[in-house]
Amino acid sequence: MRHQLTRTGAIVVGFVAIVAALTLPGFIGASRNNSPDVLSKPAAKPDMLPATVAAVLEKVGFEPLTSRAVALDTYLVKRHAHGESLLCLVSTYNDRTSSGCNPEADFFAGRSVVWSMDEEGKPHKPAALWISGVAKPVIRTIRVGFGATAIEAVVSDDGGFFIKAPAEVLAQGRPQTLEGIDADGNVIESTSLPRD
Amino acid sequence: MGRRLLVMLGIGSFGALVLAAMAFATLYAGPKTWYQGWDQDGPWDTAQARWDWNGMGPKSDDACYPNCSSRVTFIDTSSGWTYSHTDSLSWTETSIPSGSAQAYTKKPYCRNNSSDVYTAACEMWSLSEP
Repeated sequence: MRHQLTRTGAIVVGFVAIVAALTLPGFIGASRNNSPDVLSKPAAKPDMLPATVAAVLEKVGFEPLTSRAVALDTYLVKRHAHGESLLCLVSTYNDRTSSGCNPEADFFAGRSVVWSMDEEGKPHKPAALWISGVAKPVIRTIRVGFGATAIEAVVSDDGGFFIKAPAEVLAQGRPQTLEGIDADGNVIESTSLPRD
Repeated sequence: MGRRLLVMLGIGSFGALVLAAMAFATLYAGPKTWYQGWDQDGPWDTAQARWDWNGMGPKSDDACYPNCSSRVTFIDTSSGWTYSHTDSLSWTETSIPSGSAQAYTKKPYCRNNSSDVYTAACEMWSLSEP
């Protein structure tokens, strides 16, 4: 009897060990994949937010010392607010500050590209518009479609991108699509951008 | 009696200073369900309390997450839209640079500009002292 129990226990332990060995690396990989790689790099001087921006962000729970620059006037900054640990995409272009935040543990939330769009003017006819964001390493180029015209930006080494719509392109209308493209030219992710 | 009054005045003054230095948030919509195109504006600000931060979230993590886009902006008294920001993250927020740029009358506005339904709240912040 004792021998039988030991044998059953060994089978259970062995089964659990096999399941863990098969699933844990994937789980760890998935967790890592859900946060931008740039966060694991040591901070350098260009990562610092402008002092005036840092002072404002601090008032609403951001942690300015955690900022990492990923593209022109585009940063990733940790934040504790609303009872959550968040990771935020912050844009400081044109002396303004906007942000979008997701739970830090699941920043990409199953996507390959996280984007944000800032504008001046009413949605049907913006006077200025720019798009910034961060992408997973597989994404090398971002393409934004404005009707017949498309603008492309190469993703930075830190995973970020910034696109400002030239006035002549914006005159054709709002951006309609955003695509994330890999090194071979394959569209990995395609998003319809809001119309209003 | 006079000493107690002084202590109370001191505590009251300290409390007032702390409150003046604190940023505060006020809900102006929700939490509620937002169908496609639903929007809401908040109250006009005043010279005594300028709204300088406007946010929408947290968006529900069911049906449309992570594609629940929102727009937040400030609308001035001429119906002009300024500091408009759209994204599809859980929190979508915009702000006005501190200083003279804040010195105009405005109200916050938020909108579900996605093709999906989600729950969220909209809140405005006054971050600076009058």
